[in-house]
Amino acid sequence: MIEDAPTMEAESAMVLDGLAVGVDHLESIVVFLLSVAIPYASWVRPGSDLRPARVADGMRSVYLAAEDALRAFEGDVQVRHEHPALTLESSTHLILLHRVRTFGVACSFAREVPLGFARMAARQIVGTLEQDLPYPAEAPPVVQLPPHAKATVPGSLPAPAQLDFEAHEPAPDTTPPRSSIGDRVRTLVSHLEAVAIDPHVVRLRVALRTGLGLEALVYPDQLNSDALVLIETAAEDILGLERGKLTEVARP
Amino acid sequence: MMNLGTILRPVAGAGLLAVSDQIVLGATHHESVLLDQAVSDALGSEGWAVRRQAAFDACFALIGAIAKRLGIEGDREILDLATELYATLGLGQIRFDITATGGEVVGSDLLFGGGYQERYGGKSKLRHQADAFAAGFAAAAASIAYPSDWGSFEADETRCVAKGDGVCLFSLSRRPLTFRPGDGLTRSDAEQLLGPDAPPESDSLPIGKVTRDIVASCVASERGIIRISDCRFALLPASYRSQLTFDTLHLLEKRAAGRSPAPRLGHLFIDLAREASRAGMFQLLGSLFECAPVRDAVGPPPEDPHERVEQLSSIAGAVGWGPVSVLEYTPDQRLVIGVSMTPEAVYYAARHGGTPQSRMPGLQGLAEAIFYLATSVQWGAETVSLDLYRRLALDGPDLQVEETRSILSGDRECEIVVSLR
Repeated sequence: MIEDAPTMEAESAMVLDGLAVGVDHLESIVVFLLSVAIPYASWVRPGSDLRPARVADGMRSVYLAAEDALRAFEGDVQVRHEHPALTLESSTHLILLHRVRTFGVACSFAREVPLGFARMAARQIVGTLEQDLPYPAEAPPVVQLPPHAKATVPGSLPAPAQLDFEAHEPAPDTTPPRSSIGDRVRTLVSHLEAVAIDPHVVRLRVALRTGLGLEALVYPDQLNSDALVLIETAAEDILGLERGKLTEVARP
Repeated sequence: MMNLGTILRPVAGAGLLAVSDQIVLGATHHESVLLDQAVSDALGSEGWAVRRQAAFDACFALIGAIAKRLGIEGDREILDLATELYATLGLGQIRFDITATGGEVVGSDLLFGGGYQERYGGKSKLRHQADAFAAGFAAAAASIAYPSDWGSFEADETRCVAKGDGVCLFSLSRRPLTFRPGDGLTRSDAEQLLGPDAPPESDSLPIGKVTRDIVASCVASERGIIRISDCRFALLPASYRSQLTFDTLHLLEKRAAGRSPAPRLGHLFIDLAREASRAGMFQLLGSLFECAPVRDAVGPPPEDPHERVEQLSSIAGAVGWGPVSVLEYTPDQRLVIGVSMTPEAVYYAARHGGTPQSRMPGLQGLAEAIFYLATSVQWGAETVSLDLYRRLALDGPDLQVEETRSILSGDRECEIVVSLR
């Protein structure tokens, strides 16, 4: 039984607020582990009494049951290229349930939301989370503990390194690491500069529309997924495109 | 339709232009669209309210001053006056269908929505309404026609050609009056800033006088459109542009004050406001410089770049920027212009007082436009166009601009330096 006690300690430090910016009727986003019914990250509209722990518990059960039930139609699929998505409709809520690797993602909307809009918004949220959520090998424990140093056993010390000043090793690479988000931002800005009608002011406009400033576009590798959503939205606004139309461009 | 000369008057000693007692500025659809766009970029959905409020304040003062001067009082008569004024100024066509409780206004060929379509040629659709100026104008006219001490009118644009609709449609309703509409930007604001010991206004060059005559002879079409070559031309209340710019800038600065570290969003907005002015004035001054009436009166654009830059500055003065003079010019290198009075400075001084900060993005953009036109256009071999401007903006000389002196910080005139970066 999962307690509905505050789950802040159990959740990761991942912030989802940026994903919810500008999405009308969105009530909550709950990312949970499919292995155990614990929320990994969540955003709940202020004033709402939704409890992420309860959502995670219920949605995990529903999703696993649905995957199991699908076997009756598809048989035992060894490798799924696309995970099934679920739509739950009640008199008060519309819930879209997706899977990202070992995580479930439940996006709940107020019932009056147009179904097509909710699907598009949820797909965009899930698309961003696919970039941000850890892969199984690197998936951190829900509560990260500092790594303990191993005790030194006499005789187990490695031999001191031999210094060889003659060796011509390549100089260490001091270039800051490129992030996937940084690459997507660069792709987006290049695309805008290629197709926007006033390309010479594109960077200024994106920097101002997002509120991130020009510095953020010069060094995009430091940006997080929230910033990427803001940049994608600004790019769509500048080009006069519908929401979600730039997703393909943003992919490397 | 009457010509602009019927309503346009110089502000004696200041080198500015006025309609009734309100200072106005010659504008094109280019900078009108681009400045509104910059405000939307800066403020998002709040931008609509800021733009509409600036338009309401400016137009309430303008329509009210004309109605008072002409002694027009009846509601229908005031709405007829507003309709005719809107078209005469080159802002497009509006038609009122309202009563004392509210109603609708239909707009067509509006400077902002229609201008957006014209500028972008249907390649891009706006995601938000474009005609905050028309909304503010319509609400101001309705509020004067049907005065109430309880409230004034507010207009929302429910359809807009810039979004792909066939027509612009505004819905008007009353709202409680929570503010007192200001006096706009008046002649007396300029005269106060000028002071009693101001030097006498120097005679402008012949090309400046010819340009004033051209502007005065402009007659809007039945659709409320004035064109100078390919460029759509209109007279806008100077306070609209300034209120829009500085209200937005102050909001950004106020918000940045609470964040640390804060991106310099105010600077980005100023850059875009300057770009709006540069893009619009490049088209307007360039179109006037090479138009047939100017060629007939003073000949084609001169070969001498010094003469060119003097003439372009004189044209700028004639469309309402004030007595612009060239203080220094090194072709292809550096331009310094000075102006003792300009609408931006009058507005800032009247509303906010003096400041040591750089506060004239419009004038800076004007100086850059003059630099481009004087140094980077092959006159006679190419004509001023949107494509030419975009080419220069992308691949032309990279300019930097500085406001080195300002009447807002106690100097006798404003000085703008444009040089290669």
